Amino acid sequence: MHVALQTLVSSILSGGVLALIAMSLALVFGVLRIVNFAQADFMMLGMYGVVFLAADTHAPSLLLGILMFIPGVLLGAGIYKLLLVRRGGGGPSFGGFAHDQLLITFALSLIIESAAAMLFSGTPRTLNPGKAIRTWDLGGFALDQARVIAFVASVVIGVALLWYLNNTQSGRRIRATAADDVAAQIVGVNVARVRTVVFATSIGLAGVAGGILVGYYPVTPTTGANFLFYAFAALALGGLGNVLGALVGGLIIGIAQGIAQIFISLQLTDFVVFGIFLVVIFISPNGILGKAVRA
Amino acid sequence: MSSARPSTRRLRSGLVTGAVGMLALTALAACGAGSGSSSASGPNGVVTIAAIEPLSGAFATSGKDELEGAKFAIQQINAAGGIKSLGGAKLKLISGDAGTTPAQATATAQTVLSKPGVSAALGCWFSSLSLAATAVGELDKIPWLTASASDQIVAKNPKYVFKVSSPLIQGTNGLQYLIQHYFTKNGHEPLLAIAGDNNVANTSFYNQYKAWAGQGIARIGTQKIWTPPLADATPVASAVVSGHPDLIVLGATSTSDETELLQALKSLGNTAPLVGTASSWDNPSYLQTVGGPAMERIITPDGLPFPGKGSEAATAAYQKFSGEPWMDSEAASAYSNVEILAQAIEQAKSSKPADIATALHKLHLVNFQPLAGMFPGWNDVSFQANGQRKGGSFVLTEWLNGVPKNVYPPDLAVATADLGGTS
Repeated sequence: MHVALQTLVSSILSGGVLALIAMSLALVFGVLRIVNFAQADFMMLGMYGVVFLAADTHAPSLLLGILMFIPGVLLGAGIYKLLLVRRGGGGPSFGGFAHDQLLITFALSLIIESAAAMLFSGTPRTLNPGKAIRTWDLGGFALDQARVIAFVASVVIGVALLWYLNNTQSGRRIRATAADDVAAQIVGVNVARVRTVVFATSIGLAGVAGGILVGYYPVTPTTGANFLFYAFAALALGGLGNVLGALVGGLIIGIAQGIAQIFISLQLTDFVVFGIFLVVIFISPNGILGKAVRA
Repeated sequence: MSSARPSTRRLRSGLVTGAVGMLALTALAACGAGSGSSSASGPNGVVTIAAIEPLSGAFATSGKDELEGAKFAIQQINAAGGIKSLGGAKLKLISGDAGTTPAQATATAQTVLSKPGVSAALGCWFSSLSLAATAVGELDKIPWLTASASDQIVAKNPKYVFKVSSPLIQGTNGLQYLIQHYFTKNGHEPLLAIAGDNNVANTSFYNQYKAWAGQGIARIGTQKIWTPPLADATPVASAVVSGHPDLIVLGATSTSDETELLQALKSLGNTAPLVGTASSWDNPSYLQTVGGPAMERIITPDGLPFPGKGSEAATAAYQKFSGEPWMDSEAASAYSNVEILAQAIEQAKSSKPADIATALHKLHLVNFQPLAGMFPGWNDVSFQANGQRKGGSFVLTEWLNGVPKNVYPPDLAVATADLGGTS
């Protein structure tokens, strides 16, 4: 019982960061219909960013993780303008996107991984090892501080993103563009700018997710690949392009991993997780939270 | 009609140009093949060795260490005058990325070994990769030396594959030695927990441990086996710790998994001694990831060499060459493999793969330094007909004061094993 509870709590906590990555994917898919295969690689870059900055500045790693939003946004805006916007202009109603962008983001993923392997080597890196294993002892029940902090930070950022989308003018512009970009343009929304902002924000969020994750997870150039397919599963489970759905989907995937590990087998974790995913998608093709595509 | 003629002419001229090109290419290829097979050494007196190692992905740390060890050996051999029986021919290393899957390792081996003039190959550290890639060496008839542990690599009696590591049983013999000397209390067998991945060598280890249960050597408690990489080590660590084992066997082979698992075990307050199964547990990267104190007293029985008494000069030179704080067993095994290979080339007096393979089968190195100071039995190196190195034993390396040290066998040991009062 103790082991089961420990595993379940750990899995839910891990699901928090997964949810943040899935939300960043949902944002960009909802507005741009881009399936970004490089998303988790930007997360990996955020992890390295925090590792190096923490070594140089000794600043709190959580603060550095949140600051990864800034380079992420700049990088995202640059990549969108340089690579993606040229391949069809952008958006569901403006043609030409899907195939090219799949290949572009896939190529980008391989390039980022290779460059990281060259620059940082394959040796795993962590933050100060002492920090990584601090726990709160709740009557024999060890709660990993870094995981709890990462979970709380991810959920707070996720909720803040939802609030921003639902309660601000620019958030409404994003939702309007996601719902119908042609109509949004007709009523005066600068759709091109919205798309740039959304893609940049999405990469910024991936950087933040990495910056938070590295608090307890070692980073290597291929760390992103360990999370990418779980994040996509979370995205589809919650409803493609649905940011709230991605948050819920991430948590569900985390819990499913825990259940598989407790009751079935470590080696069958993916079988169980993606099995649950397929069953849900079969029953509810638009994901748990209903409507097909919306930010 | 008038428009057809020029296009026919263009077609004919294109065909002629293509045919001439093909002939030229074929001639060039024939020249290349000829030069590789007829000369004693390659172009400009160079003997090319291919190292197929995991240079990206989960096993890259170990792969790069092997590559570094091989480069160091080649630098040493070339600085000492190269292959003397070939007029001082220099060794040249070319490398390829074995990646993380047998398919990647095979594809890379095919690409690299198809390059002209490759005389021999090394790699791939991770047994599952070596098992696949060495088959390419066998098919291409290029001798391949591997430090991987799995006995399956030589199970089909290959002619061109040479397994330099000890037979797998030596790894389990090392653990059995530890159990009998340190963990058997009042005649009661200790309770073992197993936490490791399903790499082909590890799976063989686990099967051996399970066989001990019926032999009164050890009892087997919690077993947590996964396919790398591990997304979250907490469930594994939690299950293992809650079983209250006397000893935890760590079978992770990716340094990333190992790091996560160690952190999770620490966070859950584990106090049971830790024994590694893979050579990667003596890797210097742990200083960066979990820190020396977290590694203290982790002990690894291994069928690979680890520098001990007699290899001080070589390891000091390696430290200077690589900038690494010590020569770990991956670097030491690749270093040893190149030294053995160089001796075979020397005796073959040829860079032809077939001649080198024959020389390796006949090789008998007696008290060959500095290898004799790295591994028990390495004062007498030779191979069985199936390519398995004859004899072989195990070494024990233990992290003491932030550095892994050779603690067994006594004639090579530079420190005494300290398992925290468990004996």
